[in-house]
Amino acid sequence: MSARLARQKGEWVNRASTIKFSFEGKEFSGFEGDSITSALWASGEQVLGRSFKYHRPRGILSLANHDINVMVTDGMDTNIRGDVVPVAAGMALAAVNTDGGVKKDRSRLIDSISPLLPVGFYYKAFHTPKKMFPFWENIIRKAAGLGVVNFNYPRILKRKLHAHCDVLVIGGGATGLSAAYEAGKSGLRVVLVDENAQLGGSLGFDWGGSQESANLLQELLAKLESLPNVSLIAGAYAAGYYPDHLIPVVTREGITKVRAGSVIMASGAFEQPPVFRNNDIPGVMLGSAAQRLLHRYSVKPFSNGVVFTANDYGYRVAQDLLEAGIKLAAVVDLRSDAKDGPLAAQLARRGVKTIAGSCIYEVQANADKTGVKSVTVTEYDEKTNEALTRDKVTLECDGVAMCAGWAPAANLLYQAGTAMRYDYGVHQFVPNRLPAGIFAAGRVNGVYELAQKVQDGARAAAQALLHIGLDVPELPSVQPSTRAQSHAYPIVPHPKGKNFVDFDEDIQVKDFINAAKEGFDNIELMKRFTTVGMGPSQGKHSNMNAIRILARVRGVPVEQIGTTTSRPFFHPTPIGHLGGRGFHPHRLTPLHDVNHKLGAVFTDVGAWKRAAYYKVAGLGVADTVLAEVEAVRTKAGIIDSSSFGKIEVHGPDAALFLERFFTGNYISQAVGSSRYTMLLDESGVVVDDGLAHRLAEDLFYLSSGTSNAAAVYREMQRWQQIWQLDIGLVNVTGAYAAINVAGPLARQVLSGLVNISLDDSALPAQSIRETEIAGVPVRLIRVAFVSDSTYELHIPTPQAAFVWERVMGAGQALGLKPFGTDAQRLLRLEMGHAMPGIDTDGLTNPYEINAQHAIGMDKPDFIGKRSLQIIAKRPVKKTLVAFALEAGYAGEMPFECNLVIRQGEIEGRVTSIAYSGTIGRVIGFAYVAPEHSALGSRFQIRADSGALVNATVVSSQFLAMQK
Amino acid sequence: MQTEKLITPIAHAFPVGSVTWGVINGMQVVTRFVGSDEEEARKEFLGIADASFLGKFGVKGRNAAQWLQDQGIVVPEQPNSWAGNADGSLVLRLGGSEFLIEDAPGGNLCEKLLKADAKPAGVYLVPHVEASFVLSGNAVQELFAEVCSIDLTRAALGVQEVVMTQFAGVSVVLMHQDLEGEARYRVWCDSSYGPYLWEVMAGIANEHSGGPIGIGNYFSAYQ
Repeated sequence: MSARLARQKGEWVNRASTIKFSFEGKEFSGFEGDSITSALWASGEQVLGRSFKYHRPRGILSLANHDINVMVTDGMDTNIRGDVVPVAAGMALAAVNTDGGVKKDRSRLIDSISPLLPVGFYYKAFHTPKKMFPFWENIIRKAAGLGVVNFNYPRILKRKLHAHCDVLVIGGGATGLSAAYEAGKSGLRVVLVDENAQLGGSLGFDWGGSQESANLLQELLAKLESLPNVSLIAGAYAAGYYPDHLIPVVTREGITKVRAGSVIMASGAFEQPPVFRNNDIPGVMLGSAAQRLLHRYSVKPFSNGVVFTANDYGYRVAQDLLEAGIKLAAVVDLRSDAKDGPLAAQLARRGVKTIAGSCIYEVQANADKTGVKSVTVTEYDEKTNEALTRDKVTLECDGVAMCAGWAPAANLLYQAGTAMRYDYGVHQFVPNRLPAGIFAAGRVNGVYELAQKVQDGARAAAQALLHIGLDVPELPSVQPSTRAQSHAYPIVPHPKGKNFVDFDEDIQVKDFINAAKEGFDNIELMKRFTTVGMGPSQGKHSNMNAIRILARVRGVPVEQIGTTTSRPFFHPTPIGHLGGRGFHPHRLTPLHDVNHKLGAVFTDVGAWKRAAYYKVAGLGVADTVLAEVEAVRTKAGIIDSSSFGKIEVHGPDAALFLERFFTGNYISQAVGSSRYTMLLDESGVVVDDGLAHRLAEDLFYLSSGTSNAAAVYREMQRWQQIWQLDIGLVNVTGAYAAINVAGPLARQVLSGLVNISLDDSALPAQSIRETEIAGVPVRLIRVAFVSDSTYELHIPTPQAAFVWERVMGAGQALGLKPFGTDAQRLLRLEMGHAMPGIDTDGLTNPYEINAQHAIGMDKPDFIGKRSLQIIAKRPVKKTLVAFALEAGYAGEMPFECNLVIRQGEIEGRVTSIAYSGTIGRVIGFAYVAPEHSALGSRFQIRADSGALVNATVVSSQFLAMQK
Repeated sequence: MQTEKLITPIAHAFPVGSVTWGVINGMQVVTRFVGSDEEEARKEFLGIADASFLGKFGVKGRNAAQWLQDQGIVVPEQPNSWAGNADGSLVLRLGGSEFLIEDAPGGNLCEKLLKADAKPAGVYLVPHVEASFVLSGNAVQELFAEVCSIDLTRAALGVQEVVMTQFAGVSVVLMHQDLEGEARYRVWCDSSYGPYLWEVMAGIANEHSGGPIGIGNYFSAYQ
């Protein structure tokens, strides 16, 4: 039977468009604009889900994403929130967390043994024997849970956007719309976001039997339409608050990070259910949920209902129900003073009796437990908070609308650092001290009357404009409602329980009392023990009642209990939204395409893509690398080193700057020569090394490894800020490409290309010259990193490919081969060069790597000198040594970071290790105890399998061991 | 074997075969990506062009501003702002004492500056080989909203402002210019990030019915 009402003004559904879908294998239809829940309810379906723990049948609670009674799967996606997700044609839906369907869920039997399963039962019952816990855990996880994750879910990455505005208004109800209009009149950029599919907030459903709200909504929207600088965005929730007014706004399309000059929180309040036995049976719903059904979707919540209220709001709900033609058996009001008030009189005139000072003691389900059969009403003692069961009245009905009060939707206010206070007039937490630039208005501020909400929104807008520097008059403040909008304790005890506080987690009143008895009487502890507020709706419908219960149990005021920590995100947000379409910045050398054509296989070195090796048909990686090494050792090799860091230091104080920045001496360095550089941090730890090439008295050209280049440049800038020397720092890493030509034939390869002599006498080791290749300016540097005979060509980046081709052409007949970073690392190891970052770690000082030769302790100062003076007085704890495995070793190959073991104890670790074809041995570097660092000392390396491999300390001049 | 000495730093990102290559300022560049009508249409929505071939010159140091003025260059008064020379070349003041100058289309100011007399004390040459982009179109703000976290709308930028920010994780310099009757944004980044940033921006441009177009769509000198 259809529960759809006749067409009415303001309804969200488009009756011209019928949507067909299925639920639990049965065909249904709804209208475009229906949520899944409203479409099902309109079709007479009331059991829309099963509860998390006891598998109790559930229907509508809030119809507002403040609970998760209705969670469905469409086979692909899961945990779809039926209350707010629009129904779509062809959907094949089923409730999550059932065993055999939502109506015949076999796990419903758990409900009958619920007394055996109090909160935390599994910790207590199954923690011993420990080995059995996985068994029990498996059973419990299957019995309790939500949707099943679909590991075949497609990878949908949503765009992440940034937006900026002067004023961001959160919430599109009367208060928010009023605030947006007032702020928008300034002409500034105003953005309003609201999580609902349409704007209006409670104006769209809380009518109280009149058209005042609906008319106001039309009026406000019309006024806002005239302001093009105001963006109104529905279906978008403000998901969290981050410093400097950064607020991620989530829509179905993705996340937009909004940065606002000021923020107005007009986020309203969550309606809180009164707590009584069987308050979760389908058909028992919040008053606002009944109104949403009526006015958004034109669906009857029930036909013959009872309103159970503890505030005046229940009377507005009752009026709306009556206007929709729904019979009311009674209004049951928890407050004893309600019977003589005007609200009760108004209802009486419409033939509805008010039973004041009473409560619904329990709800009786119909035969198949799919809905309400009747309710039992008793007197309620507001002083003792007990139901007086001597006189029970049973009212036949098929639904209950519950109204007990509100909790402010203050999540983002808490996250922003707002100090809240409990207001005993409105009986609600309200903002006490707001952070700069944040303003609260409307229900979240304790303001409930319609006219006052509009006024409060305007007041907040004026303050927001003042905050961002506009000269506008401040408007008078609006005080929180003096009439309680929430009941201080809308809890009805029942010896049989099932009076639910948290519907997500099936938590009853007794669970809180027991938790407190066990010592979990702090709100944060209670939360974790009972799991209240830890379900998917994050306490939106349960935290306030939990606080009230705990306050009562402990006998302290509510404000002493406080609230739990509010964290982003406001609603669960898909991982695809959070991850978004990511960016992965990477740098390509100007020779990338050249390398690619040569068969390069690339590897990531910092942000750079570098050629690791060049594929050779029929050859494995290891042999390919060894062949590249062999080419360098026997003929010549060429490598793209463009990623090396390159920095120019200009100016009269350039040498002085280097003296202070690095450990070595540079004032005396001759023009045209190169010197080693070592950089320490202030604690004396080795950070980086490289070379300083002096191009002129007032110009040094620094080259360093790939990974640290940017960090070293930043550090130089930082120190220059402190030292204020007469220099200019220029990072030319991207401006110059670098090509190394290495090997015994390297000189021959280059000699025909450059117009200077490459003889040792003209270009000795560690020297630099400026020359040209085919008209391209080149800085030619003689280095010895991978081979004694290595020439480094630094050329303007756009001309790199041109020069590379010239060099390759010149070397073709001489057997010049490209080599990659894998061969480079082995070549440098063979040369006996330890590398910072590979052979050092975040604690290594120069003495531990035998780098005393690079330290000018006689200099007035350099970074780390004071620390080195202290370190030098202490015994060295570890020493980096060169080692080799036995000749012909064919056992398990140790790896870098394998431990050095001596007599069962850890002595050090391997930092570099590789098989050198040149030498015919496995060689490497490792840290050992200083007393075991002498040449010929032996130690053992524990390989991955645990096998101990013998190694011997050797000279770092590995090439001297050559066969 | 490559015969041209210069090749655009964005070359890696350009599709092979389907585009028209040419040489501008001695640099190999793509002069056309699709048919002229389609490029016109792309430009309307979100056009992106490679302007890396334009000559660039940089100096920094405490006397850099004075030296530039001595060379007859208009120097922006405020840090992080730009000015245009009479010949159409751009002068960007990157902070207090660093300058980037870019030739006007067809101009050679940067070459002249490079060959100018020896620089005095406190003036240091800064080589510039950045990848350089021109962007325009109705959807350009949507691209900015995705790649950049700061407000780059016209209202926020001001008239002559130079912004140093990050696009999709890469440091860029950005300015806005009204030229040849349309609003354009200019973006420069380290040449090694050029292909990456081109791919990101061109990909987003495609989603907004735009995409890569030849530089002739922006500078009539290259039509």
